[in-house]
Amino acid sequence: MSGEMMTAMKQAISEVMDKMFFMPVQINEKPGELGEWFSIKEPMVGAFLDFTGPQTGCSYILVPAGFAKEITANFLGYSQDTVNEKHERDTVKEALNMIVGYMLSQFEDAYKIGIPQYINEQDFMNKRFKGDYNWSFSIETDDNYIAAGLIANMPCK
Amino acid sequence: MAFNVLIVDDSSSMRAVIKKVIKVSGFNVGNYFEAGDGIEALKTLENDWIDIVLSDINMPNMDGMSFLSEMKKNELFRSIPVVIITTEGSEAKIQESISLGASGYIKKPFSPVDIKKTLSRLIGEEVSDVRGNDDSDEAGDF
Repeated sequence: MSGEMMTAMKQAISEVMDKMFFMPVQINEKPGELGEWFSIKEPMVGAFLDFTGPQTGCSYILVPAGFAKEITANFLGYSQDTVNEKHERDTVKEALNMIVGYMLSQFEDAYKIGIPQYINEQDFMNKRFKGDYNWSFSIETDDNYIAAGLIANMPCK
Repeated sequence: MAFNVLIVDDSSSMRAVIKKVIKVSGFNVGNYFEAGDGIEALKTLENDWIDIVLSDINMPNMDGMSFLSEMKKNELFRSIPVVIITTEGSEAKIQESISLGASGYIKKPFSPVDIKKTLSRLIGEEVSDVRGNDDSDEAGDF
């Protein structure tokens, strides 16, 4: 997987988080396991999404549950009290859909995007993604982290 | 004149956001209708009076391109303006949607201004007399 795709994903994350979730973000490439980025006390929600084309792979996003509620409220313009689990799942999936769509639209090649699927933390860890390459980003907001990543040459499912 | 809007997207969150943007933009909307894919959207068109459609592309069961194609084959529906709102922003997809008869194309992530500008143009030019204007899909206003 090319460095251009990593750069495109970072740009996509910044654009989507700023424009649709009103959250400027700092993107870091951190070594280590995902578990090192987050408190193990808080559950995570996430989504994954396949894409095919000149490069094939899987993309994912993981968000602490409490933060998912906050970004969902921002996205929908609701108060956090009125955000339910379905809203959160749908918003996390749509966030990944927009990130990957924006990322791939920066290339002239024809890519096809799958339908984003919800995944919880346990299922994510059980998947043991092992593609040819695996890039993970931690996305830092004022007081939280999101994880996102790309895995080359391996479908999510 | 109030117009009826059909929002087609498999994400209920995205449908809610698009609806909210239209509301705050001050358009005179009669009723909002929602569909989760192209099949549901075609059923809505058969049952309800729709003046403008905003549709995603990447959806299960029937995607936005197939939906657009089916709409434009149908004499009753072909004059209804369709705005594609999607993450798939490649030039090839834009050209494909134009060739199928889309009246506008908005890339996600979008700003409220993007939707407001596109709807303003279509409402002014097409929606007010959409049922009597069979040439509306020839506008080519991209």
